[in-house]
Amino acid sequence: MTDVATPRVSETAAVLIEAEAITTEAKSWSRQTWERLLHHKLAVVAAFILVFLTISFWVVPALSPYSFDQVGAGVPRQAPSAKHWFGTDQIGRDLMTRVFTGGQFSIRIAALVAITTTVIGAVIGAISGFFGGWIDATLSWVTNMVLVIPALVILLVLALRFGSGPWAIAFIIAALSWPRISRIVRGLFLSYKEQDFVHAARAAGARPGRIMFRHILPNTFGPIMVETTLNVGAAIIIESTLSFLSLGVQPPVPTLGNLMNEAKGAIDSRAYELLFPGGIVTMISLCVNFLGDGLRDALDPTSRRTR
Amino acid sequence: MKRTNWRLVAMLAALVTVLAACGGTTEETTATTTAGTQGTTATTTGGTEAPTEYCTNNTGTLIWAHEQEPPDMHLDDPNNNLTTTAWTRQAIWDGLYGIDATTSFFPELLAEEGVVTENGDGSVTGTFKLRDGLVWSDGDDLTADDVKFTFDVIMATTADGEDEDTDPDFVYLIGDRTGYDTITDFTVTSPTEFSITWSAFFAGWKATFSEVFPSHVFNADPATAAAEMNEQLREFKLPSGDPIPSSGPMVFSNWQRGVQLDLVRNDLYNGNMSPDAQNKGLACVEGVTIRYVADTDAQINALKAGEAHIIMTQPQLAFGDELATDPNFTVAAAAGPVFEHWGLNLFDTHLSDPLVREAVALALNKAQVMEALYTPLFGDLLPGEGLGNTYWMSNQPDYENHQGDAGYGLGDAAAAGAKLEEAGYTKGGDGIYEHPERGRLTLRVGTTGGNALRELQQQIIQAQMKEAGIEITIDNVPGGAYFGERPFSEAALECANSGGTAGNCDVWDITQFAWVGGPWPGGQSFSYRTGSGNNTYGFSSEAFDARSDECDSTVDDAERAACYNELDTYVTTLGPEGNGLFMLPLTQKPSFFGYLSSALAKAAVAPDANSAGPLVNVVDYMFN
Amino acid sequence: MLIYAVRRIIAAIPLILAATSIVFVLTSLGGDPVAARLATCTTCDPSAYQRLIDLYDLDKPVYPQRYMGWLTDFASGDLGVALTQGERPVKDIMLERGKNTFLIAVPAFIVIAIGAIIFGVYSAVRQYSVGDYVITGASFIGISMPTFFFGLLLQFFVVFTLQKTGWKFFYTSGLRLEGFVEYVKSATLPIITLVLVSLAGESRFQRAATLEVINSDYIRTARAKGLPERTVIFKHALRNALIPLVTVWALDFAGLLSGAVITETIFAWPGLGRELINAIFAQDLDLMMAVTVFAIFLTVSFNLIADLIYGVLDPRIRFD
Repeated sequence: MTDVATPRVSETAAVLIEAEAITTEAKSWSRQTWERLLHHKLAVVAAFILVFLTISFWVVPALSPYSFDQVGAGVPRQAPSAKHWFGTDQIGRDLMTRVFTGGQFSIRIAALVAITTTVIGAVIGAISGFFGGWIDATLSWVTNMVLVIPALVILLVLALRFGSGPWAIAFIIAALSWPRISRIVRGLFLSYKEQDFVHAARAAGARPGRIMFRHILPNTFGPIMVETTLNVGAAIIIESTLSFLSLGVQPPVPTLGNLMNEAKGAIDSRAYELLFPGGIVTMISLCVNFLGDGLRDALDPTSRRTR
Repeated sequence: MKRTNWRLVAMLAALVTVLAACGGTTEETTATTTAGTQGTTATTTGGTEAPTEYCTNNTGTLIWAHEQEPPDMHLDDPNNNLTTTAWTRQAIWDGLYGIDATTSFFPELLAEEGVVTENGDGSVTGTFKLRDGLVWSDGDDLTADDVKFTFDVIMATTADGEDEDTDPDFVYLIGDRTGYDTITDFTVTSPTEFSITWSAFFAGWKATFSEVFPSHVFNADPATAAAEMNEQLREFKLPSGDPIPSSGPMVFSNWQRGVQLDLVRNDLYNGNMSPDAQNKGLACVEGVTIRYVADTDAQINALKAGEAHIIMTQPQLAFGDELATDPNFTVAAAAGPVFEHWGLNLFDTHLSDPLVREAVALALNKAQVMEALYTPLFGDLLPGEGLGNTYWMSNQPDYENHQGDAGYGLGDAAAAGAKLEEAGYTKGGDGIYEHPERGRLTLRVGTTGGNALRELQQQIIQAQMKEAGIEITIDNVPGGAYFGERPFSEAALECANSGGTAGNCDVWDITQFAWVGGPWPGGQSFSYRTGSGNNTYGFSSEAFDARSDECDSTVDDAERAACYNELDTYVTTLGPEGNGLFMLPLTQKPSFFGYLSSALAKAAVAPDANSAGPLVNVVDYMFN
Repeated sequence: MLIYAVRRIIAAIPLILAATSIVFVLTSLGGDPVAARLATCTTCDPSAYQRLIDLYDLDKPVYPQRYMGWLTDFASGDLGVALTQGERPVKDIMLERGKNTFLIAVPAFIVIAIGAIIFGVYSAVRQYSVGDYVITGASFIGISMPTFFFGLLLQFFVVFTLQKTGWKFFYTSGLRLEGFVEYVKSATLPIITLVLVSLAGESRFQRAATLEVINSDYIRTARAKGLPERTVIFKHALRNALIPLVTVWALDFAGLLSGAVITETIFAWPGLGRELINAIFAQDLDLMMAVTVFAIFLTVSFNLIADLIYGVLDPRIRFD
């Protein structure tokens, strides 16, 4: 029950509102944001790496002479060589193909988690913040409840019961990740609904649904985008952690987490088996965090960086 | 393994408990028999020798890092009947017979082999003599009364007002009273002599009384004693706080839950009679500490880091290329009676067709599995062609490769395809066969998820089947939960037992796990008998059931061995009735035992006989 | 404030009830302990089945009957028995494993709390200095690395790599309680892992909070008055900058005390987190619920405590 987190979030939101709510021309605002983001060099580099990695997750397996589940593509347990750049695993599968295919699955799961989380969180947060009253009270209560339940218990139980496919895993992770974004969106809606442009729309006879989605929602895209970005990183880590506990996606589908789980017995002699997928997970997550940070700064012109 | 009820042990051992799931590995029976690789050649001259003759160092506590902690020490309680408990008790209580590394019985507390004679009316009587001078660790004599007490406790009942003959209310918690419940007479003739009469011959009789209880510390009334034992065996302490006396080389000392269990040397030990043990006297080490390290990788790390002296886990490929090549460690492997298999659901839409089962058996390439997973670890310990029999293992003299002889398991994709086409399947665009009525040939294969070696095995076979146009999807459930969720779920068993008319026959298609055999392979029949709880495959054959009864009551060893081979053809080939071929044994599963040779001068390198665990010859360990 | 506290406590009760209901129903759906244990054992005495069925009321609907049965027992202090441990009372297990978790959670928390202040404040005060970049970079990596990856790397480098140089001090696994030195040798690596998980996030948080204060008007006023920077930072800024950290501390401490599943798994530490995961895999219902309720209870109560402290420290907040 992180009650105190709410005022903190709304404080940030309030800052955002001051800066952006008055903006009428969405285009110029987004161009400004874009420019500010470009000034954030680290974020730009991070974004490039992310894009590059993501593309490579599809390109490398496609170009590889081996398939990810090809048993005996090489001599088992080989160190990296010209033939197998990342070496081979215990049953002679090409690790490079597996790591990049694993990245593909991981990123797909993470993207699905991020999107699902955002949709659930945004809808609940929007309804909660916009309507207020008992609806808000009920939804906030539910949000709090999801927050107090130890996430891992539910993750484990659900994964044990329903998990195994990549999509099942994604939905399980999403089912537990939405409260954060929901709180942020709720805070934004709480503030926006008292803004002049909302009052104006209401006076003009717009229905609540229209006000929510046509008038307020576009204004919350910025923070939602930041959160969605950060969620991709979180989801990659959660997926790998579930795999570490053997509850992730079932083989032969490789994910970065599965690969790390398979490699953990060999850290002494074949550390590279762990370091390649582990490094990529860390790299993705790091880039996502830098990008999210940059986005936040870019969206919030009053942020410290510009001072 | 020193257990009375083979079936139960077989099951529970094979069925794995779950605690280690995080590490991705669950404890599995790591049963072994040495295939002569490192069998010790000590002579069987028994008797207690002074420890100094073998031990040049009598100090040090042996640390064994093990993945699973016993739920409690009440081994017989069906809820706790786990290998880890058996392995711990192994060092504490001796039995009438022990099992050696060749998976044969040897007299342990007995002075010599018991003599069993047929009485002519179908009943048999055995006369036995205990070794002289046997004592418990608290100094009391171990006598024939203790053996009688053991029998009385196991069979003790309480009167509950109902008909005692048809509905006895047993007190002592034990899963299976087979071999005890047919005892019609137990006579103690002297402190060291007794005779037992069974109403009928039971092929597994030597497996009974694998532990003898100390009567002197429990109530004289068997029913009261049984109730006491149910309580006190859990912590292995008497109400006074003293440990329960032992007859083995170690005495229970202390148990810090979640951390470690300590055993200390029994200075009154009667001596080890096992032909495998080099040391016939007291243990060299002062004690054993079993440290619970739940994750297999963490255990290997603990061994490498010198925090443990021995580990015994399921085979991990990490062992093979890391520990085996390091001079600081000695890695020993032994092939045992545990075998991995693919079991087919006879009520599956596709698999109910014998041609499809043949196709799967033909497409399977056992040699490739062996080469990829087992040969790197075990070399020539296991035959490269895999296992072809579910009763006799490849290192036992009576082994016959039934599946190999029938041409199965050779990876013949073309022959598999021909069978499928014969069954009316046609190859689809993506190379997977389809049937006009049954649809696409997709089969689910499940196992205990998180078991690295099994998952790899599964993936290799998945690729083999794909080659032959059979699509395999993986349907694992983590850890021991798999069994209750899939092949042994209520609905699945109901389907199997009802002949496919009740329950849910679509819970699983193919299951991959290990069964455990023993010196008496007849226990395996239980998995195939009509309506038995172990038979989830749905196999039902009156001829098999009848023949199986005949085999078990065959007194002649050679005849009985041949009879078991005959039984196997019912299940690993289509069999005399053409309804078999639902068992695809893959390989014996060796146990893996590693120890820190830089610390230990001598070790019991043939840890096993039959799932006995690393403490079976604990007397042999000695520090530098 | 007392009224506020009481109101919060009352409000927390339905929340805890609802949360436990959800966990209870989900875990019961997760599998049947009888199926997990005895489905394969037809030679077992049927009374063994019946005993388990009675123990968990398995013949009744999960909700509300079974839940109510569990709740009634739980509320009356009967936490049930653990099937995976020979039916030992769950209460004993909670105490024993709770103590083990405490042994790494408390030292970790102390390091985290102090470290977050030092790194966060330094980073903010010396914004854009080399030190700030190093700390910020390290925190980003800390946030981005999966815990188990870090734990494994730690084992790899500290134990195996250092061991090859002949220096051996730390244990890779298990808890040792034979004296303080043994405890330190066994607990250090898990503590470092726990610290990394939270310290990175908390330092970043503390940096942001400090920056916010440093850039606020009253600090500018203080500076304008010509007060030495040291006085400005330590007397004026720090007090307010630390307040938001209280909440984060509370949540982290609650999380640490309820057991760290991953860290305890890697280092084979017999704590609550390890026990929880064992219980989940083995369908040990009472044990699983006890650990979960403990975690929920800790989160809720530490939050409340944090809010109350927050109110005491920050006069701008009123409880009404």
